[in-house]
Amino acid sequence: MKSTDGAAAIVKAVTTAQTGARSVIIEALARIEANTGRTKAFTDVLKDRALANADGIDPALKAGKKLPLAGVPFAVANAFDLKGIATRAGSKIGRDGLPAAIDAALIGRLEAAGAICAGAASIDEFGLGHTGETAHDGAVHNPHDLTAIAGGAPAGVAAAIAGGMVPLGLALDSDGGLRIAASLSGLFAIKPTYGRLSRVGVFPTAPSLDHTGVLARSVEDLALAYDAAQGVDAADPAMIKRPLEPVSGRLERGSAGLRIAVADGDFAGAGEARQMMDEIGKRLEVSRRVMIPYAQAALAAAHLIGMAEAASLHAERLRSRAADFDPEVRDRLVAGSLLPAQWIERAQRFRRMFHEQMLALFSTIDVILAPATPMRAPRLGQKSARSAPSRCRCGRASTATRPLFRWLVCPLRRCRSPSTASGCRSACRRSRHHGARISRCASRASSKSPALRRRRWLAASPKNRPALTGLLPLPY
Amino acid sequence: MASKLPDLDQWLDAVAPIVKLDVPAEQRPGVKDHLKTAAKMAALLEKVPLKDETAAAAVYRA
Repeated sequence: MKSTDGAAAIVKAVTTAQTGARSVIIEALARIEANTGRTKAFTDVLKDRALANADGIDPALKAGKKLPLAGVPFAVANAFDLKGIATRAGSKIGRDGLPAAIDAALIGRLEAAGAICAGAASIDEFGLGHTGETAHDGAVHNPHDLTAIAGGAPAGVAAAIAGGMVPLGLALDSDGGLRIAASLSGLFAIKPTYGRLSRVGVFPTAPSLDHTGVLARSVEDLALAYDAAQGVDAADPAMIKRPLEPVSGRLERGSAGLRIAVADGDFAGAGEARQMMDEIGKRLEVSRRVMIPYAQAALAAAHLIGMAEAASLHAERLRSRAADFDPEVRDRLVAGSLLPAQWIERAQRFRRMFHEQMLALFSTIDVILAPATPMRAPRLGQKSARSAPSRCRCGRASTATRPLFRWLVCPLRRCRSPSTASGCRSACRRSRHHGARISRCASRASSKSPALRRRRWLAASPKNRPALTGLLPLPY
Repeated sequence: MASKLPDLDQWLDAVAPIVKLDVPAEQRPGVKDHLKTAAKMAALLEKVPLKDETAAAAVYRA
């Protein structure tokens, strides 16, 4: 039994005593040690804690305790509090803080179910980025292609899972984090209903947009972790008081009885994305297409609200420690500090109207299929048309579902497409234009650069691609 | 008709001191780039008709 196996397989092996929890975590720690140097996935590996927790699993099972995640190693974004460690949240400033007194609530939930936290993983500074190219901890590399980003903000979590180091991870989704990371690393993610999972002990990004959620390599594993993470937490003011809604036992039902539609208009896709959405619709026997109203305005409102909330959160730090921020993040925060209140209030009023429109849409539909991202994983350091790093841009302008579903009361799952590591390319006109501009600019600006020569060499043959130790076979 | 963008330098110079932020010359291009994007997005939102009674929705409830 290895960490490259899924969570469900590990649980089965550990609960039936085919293997011990300690041997699972030892194998996971070995893979983390072998691969973190190249992926930069982890910032803190909790070897002693993980082994100590693993040693408690087998006796607990023998005593008859039910542990639905028995022996499953998992990673958390380093915005999650871990007892005894300063919560860096991808920042330089954060690591100067006091060590956390207790774990974040969701870590406690998963560990109570028998999972074992293996460590904290790298994220964009304060969650304000989409590529995992952090100024302080180094760029996270996509395990499927070390020259590409893993997608962020929780890039380290995605790399840890995609690289087979752990089967599960916890992260925050405020601006597309879970979905972008899953899409670009070939994983599954769930960004649940706002307030469904506790955010207690997690450093915020933009509080009214922050959702905690799960990343995994399969829907089955995702469901196991989501079920274990559920539960009311009075310490989170956004928490909704609803009964537990376990989903693991419902996966076998499939899509029968669900009213499914494919998103049209801005989401219709083109080229590969269009083919993929058509293929998924065909497999699910979906013929209905729906228009999402005000998609571009939703993107605009979400962006403005996110800018303002993040700026407010970091106002004092911007004044006292501006030099300690990642410059890209700092510039965005400074700009967010200067926005007129009228703009933010209008964005919030739009949010109400948009919410009502989407609720009306969901009165006749249960599931809307849409691409999670409009692009394959960009190269590390890729520049946009304006010579600005794409790390603050790909989510801003071209992440298909980012602006929409974080507004809603419904959960959003990111499903890996059947034929590519990337998400689909969206039909969003702005997104297409933006993506094309990034590619053209990269080509023009660096046609003689060592980086481009290296990319061409990498592209020339699969043999040229760097490989990780025991990397999982690509499923696409 | 496209909305005219505000004067970004004027905006930055007027508001940054009010919120006690020092923006050195080397930071101005990056900050102005984000301001420009924000202004375009605000202009887009201005075009969406909203009823007077539409209240802000800072946090949703299921």
